[in-house]
Amino acid sequence: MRRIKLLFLLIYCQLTLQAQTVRPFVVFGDVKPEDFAPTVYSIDSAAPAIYLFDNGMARFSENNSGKFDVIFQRHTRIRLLSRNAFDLATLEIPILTFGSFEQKMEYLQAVTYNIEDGKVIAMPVDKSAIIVEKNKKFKVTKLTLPNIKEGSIIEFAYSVRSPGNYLPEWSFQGSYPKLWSEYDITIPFFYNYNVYKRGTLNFSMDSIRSFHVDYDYYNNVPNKNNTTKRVWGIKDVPALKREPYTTTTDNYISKIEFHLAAYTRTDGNTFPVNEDWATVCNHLFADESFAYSLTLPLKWLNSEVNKAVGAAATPLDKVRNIFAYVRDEYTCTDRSARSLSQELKQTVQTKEGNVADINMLLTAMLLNIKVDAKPAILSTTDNGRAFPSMPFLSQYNYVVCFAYIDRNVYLLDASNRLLGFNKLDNECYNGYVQVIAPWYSANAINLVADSLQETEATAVFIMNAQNGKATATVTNHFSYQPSLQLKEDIRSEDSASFFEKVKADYPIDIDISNAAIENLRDPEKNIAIKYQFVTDLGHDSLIYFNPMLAGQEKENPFFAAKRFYPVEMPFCMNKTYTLNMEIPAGYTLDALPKSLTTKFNGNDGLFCYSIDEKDNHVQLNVILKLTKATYEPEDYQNLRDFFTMVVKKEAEQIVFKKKK
Amino acid sequence: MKYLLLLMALGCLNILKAQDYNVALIPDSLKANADVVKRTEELHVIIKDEGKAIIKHKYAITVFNESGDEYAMYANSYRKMESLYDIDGNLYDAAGKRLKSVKKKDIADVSGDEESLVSDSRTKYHNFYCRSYPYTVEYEDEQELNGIFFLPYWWPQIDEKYAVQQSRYIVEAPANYVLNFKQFNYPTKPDITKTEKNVTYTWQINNQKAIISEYFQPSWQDVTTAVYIAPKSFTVGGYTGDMSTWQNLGKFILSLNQGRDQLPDGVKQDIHRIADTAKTVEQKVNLLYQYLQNNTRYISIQLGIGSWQPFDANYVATKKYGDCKALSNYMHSILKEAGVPSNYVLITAGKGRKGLWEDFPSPYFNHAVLCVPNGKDTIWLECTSQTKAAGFMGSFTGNRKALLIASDGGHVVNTPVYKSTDNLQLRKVYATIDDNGDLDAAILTTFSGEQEEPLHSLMYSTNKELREEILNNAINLPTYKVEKNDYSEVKGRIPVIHEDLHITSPNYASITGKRLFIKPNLFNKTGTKLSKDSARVYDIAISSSYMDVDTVIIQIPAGYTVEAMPKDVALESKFGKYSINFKVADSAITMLRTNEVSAVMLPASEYEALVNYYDAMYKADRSQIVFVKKDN
Repeated sequence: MRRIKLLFLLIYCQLTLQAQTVRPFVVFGDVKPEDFAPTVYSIDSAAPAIYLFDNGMARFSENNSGKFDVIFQRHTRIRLLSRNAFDLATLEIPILTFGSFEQKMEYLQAVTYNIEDGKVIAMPVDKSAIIVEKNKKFKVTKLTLPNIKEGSIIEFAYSVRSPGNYLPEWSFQGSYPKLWSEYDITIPFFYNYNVYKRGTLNFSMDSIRSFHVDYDYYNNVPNKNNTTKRVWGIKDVPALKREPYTTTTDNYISKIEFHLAAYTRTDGNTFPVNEDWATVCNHLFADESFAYSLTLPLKWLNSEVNKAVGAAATPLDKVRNIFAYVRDEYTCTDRSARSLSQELKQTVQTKEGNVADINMLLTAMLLNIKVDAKPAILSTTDNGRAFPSMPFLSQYNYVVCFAYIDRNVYLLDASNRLLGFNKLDNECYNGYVQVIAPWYSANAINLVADSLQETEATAVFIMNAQNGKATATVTNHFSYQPSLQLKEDIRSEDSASFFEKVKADYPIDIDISNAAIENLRDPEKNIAIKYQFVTDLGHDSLIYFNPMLAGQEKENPFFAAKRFYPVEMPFCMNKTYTLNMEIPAGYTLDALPKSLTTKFNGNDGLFCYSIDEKDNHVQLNVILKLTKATYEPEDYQNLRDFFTMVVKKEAEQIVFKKKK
Repeated sequence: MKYLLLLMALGCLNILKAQDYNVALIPDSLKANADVVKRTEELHVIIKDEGKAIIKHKYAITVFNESGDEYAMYANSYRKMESLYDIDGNLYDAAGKRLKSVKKKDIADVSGDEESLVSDSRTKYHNFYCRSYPYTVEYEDEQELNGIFFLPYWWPQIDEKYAVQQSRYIVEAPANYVLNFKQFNYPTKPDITKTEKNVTYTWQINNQKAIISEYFQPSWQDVTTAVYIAPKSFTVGGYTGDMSTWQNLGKFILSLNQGRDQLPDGVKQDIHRIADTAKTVEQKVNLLYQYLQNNTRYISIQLGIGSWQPFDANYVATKKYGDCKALSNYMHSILKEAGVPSNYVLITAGKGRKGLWEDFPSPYFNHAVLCVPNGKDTIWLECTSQTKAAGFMGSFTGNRKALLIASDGGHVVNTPVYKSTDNLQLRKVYATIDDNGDLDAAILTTFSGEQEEPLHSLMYSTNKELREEILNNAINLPTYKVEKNDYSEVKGRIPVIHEDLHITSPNYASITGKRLFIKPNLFNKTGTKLSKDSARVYDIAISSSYMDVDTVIIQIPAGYTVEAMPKDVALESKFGKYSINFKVADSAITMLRTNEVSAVMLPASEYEALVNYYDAMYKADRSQIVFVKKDN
């Protein structure tokens, strides 16, 4: 009796265990009429498409030459609910081929299902409708599914074979909600991977199973459990939200990635891989697509360096000249690259290259004049944050030049014609910059947006002129990053059309004269905008006048009521506005807005609006300052309310009354 | 004798080399306002016979600044039927000294058509990436057309801030070859020379100054030089044709479409089930158009002769997709099965684009639609849209001339013109403002005709959530929340969308001390502010007609009296009619605004009046009412 009870208990346990980790069992082609029944899915009632099932699988397979390939398979089933998601019915699968690395597509299947008179009608894609388009470094397999309607189910499966041991990452989350997203990997004993997970969603399933496989080429294969299969699954994955002031949703997406930690050779010896930055640095210096050329004689650069150095005498001046030369004479065609696209010699010849080509060339030219220079890698904001302690090269997408001159550190980026010496774009302020040097470890510089304290100062002086008119002088000073943004924005525009916009933005009618934008094309200097204007304030018995003439916060940048991810601004802003205005002739001051000072989250932000009358002048000082660039979602409501208050206060008006 | 030949050859070489790209040779008048100057150009078209032509193109461009860099890039596409042979490129410095050269083999190519699922078009790109200004690039290439349908046109001044020092267009054809051409802004006839075997046409312009574009400028073609050419008889992809008249070009298109209307039985049964009981042609068309919309989608496919010939109806019936030609031909086949005759129509699509030139039969089309003659009540069908109303062409294909293909060939027809009374935006706003200045507004708007189009995209291409986000972004209020957004469409020849919005906006009205400031024109302010500064060069072209009527009623908190009231404004001009009126009674503001714009072409001398008209409107739209709180 007791035994039976125990057995019951066991069965019960097993059942509940299973109930927790129900994995949908989906067979390709097995679509049932009831799959078409739902018209709305509770996971997201507004979604134009729902992934019913999305499964990735990676395993190793021995190839003819005694090496292993990675086979990546994907099997996906999608319910299309609205035409807005019909793009999902067109598939583009890139197949990489460069040098000895050649991927192959092993099979590809795609089917559309519709329901007609209660029956499921399947329509596979024609073999003739599958097109392979060839480009320089990759092929793209393209197809579009036939017979697509609102309500259709589409299903596709494919498999790609790649040489080597790179395990593709898997994103559980995407632009559409998924009822089930799963990744299965099967790894033989001779590879050992570290696994990294991003995102906040919890796994609904996380299982490990070991078993035996025969491996022909290995001598001392462990008999039992020499292969491990891991499965991760997430049920009901919501679609990724896009929000303003987010560097990239990649930082928040639920995904899993792998990095080889060690491998065992056929003779049984085990080698660690990518152990630390020092080892990685050594690899990178042996890598022709990175720093190998820096280890060779650099005499061939003499003539280019001589042209660049010009008359400069001190090492620092020479570096400045070389930097400016590379920046101005070379064109960067791709600002997201961690590897060279070509030999340095070719970069010199064509005068173009990606950011790695250009800054590696800069490094080589500095080495040529015996300056201590090294390449350094980083991940830009739109590429997501790299794990600082782990040397995962695939997380990096940008190369800059690190120079050490007279005990000072310089970070140089010659890939952007607008960037000054030792200045980086705010996109580079995204965590650690890893300096790559042979036998040189853990040399990293942390760049964070919070450290960029940027200012914008506006001053307006208004004086009375004849006939009830007023004349004003306006100056506008920007610090480096806002200047850079302005330079990028105004780059192709002439200053006349810029001032047209300035004029249109004014709350009053003005005529601008003596207008100038200083340093617009000088990468080293900050922008100053100066102009004068004349305006007619009118002759009514009352004049209503908003003193925030320029730089007013007209709308709340945080319009959404809810926030899912942190707010990430490019830098901390500090705006000041000063107005000094003579009270219009023939008028007296009737009403002034009240002065006000508020703080936001302690010292995270400050808004100060201070207004006063003195000697027949109105004086206004406004400070709007944020001491951080990044705010957590918990702070969002406060941040939004803070800006609502700022917008409201800055809309207030002065009233002047005509003297009797 | 040998030496003499050699000397002559060397002499020729010298002449070829003699091109001097020294920047100092550019007249100052051409440098003014120019980012680039085209130094020299020769577009040489050699027509061998009806189906074969060689195109030699050589040009040099001097770039003065960064904005001009984009013109320094070489790009040319080719396909199976248009091979690209030779490319030669040179880079020169300001003094005209050659710095670099490039040949075809060093130039990579890429797939040339990103939009299409399938296309055999490839493109060669090259760029010297020179950044020492000024610099000059020179390119020369040679292309062969195997099959003639389009011939290259000459459009030497391609953009604003782009001057032309010298450009020449030479067309050489067999003596008996009939060539038609159309000139724009070319004052004389071409120079024509004849030999026994050949006839040569030459057009040339010199010293064209850079253009600065203006608001409401006529289309680019109306202000710069262009020449288009077209053959009389031609051979392409195994077909021969004649385009000496629109009728004959239509016959050729008819031959391409011949026999492509066979439908599978399943579709035929569907058609009869759906349409047989319908009584009128219009009902049948509506039902079958809906069937097309529900069952197909647009996918671009451009291969060989397929760029002009539709995939057959059976293909679309099984795949349920096609491009504009395939879908129009499919709809034509469907209607035919239902006993409704219809015509395939070739057209130039695009907002603001013009239609064909009636006096110049030529194949410059980029789209196909379908036309159903129905007595006086012609029905036009856009077959690539799954949502558009039957019979509505809108700004994409409306108001232009197109080529209708009938059994006897092509006919030039006009697509519908939409008047200001068709393109309406009628809006009523019922709002309240509370003691904090917070606004709560119900907005009911009816959009029709061309004014309906953006709403149509908003309604069909986004879900409710995203729409709320777009609206939150689009409407120009400080802090703003859409509480409700509902849309319903009434399809028809002039489709109508009813929009029902409810929004709240904290602090809309500004309160300073005892005063309350309100700008009653909440949602329809003109954004156009024109500059008076420079003298107007071109005519004023206003391209579409429309009318907006806004009624705004705002309830304000009790206890306020009016301190300052804006003036009512009424304007009447050649550009349109505008009026705005304000009233306050019983703590309620009533504002009535009407703005009617008429499509019109006016001389440059009217520009000052236009500026004043928009200025007055700009100010009136931002009028403010000031209230003061009564002392208790």
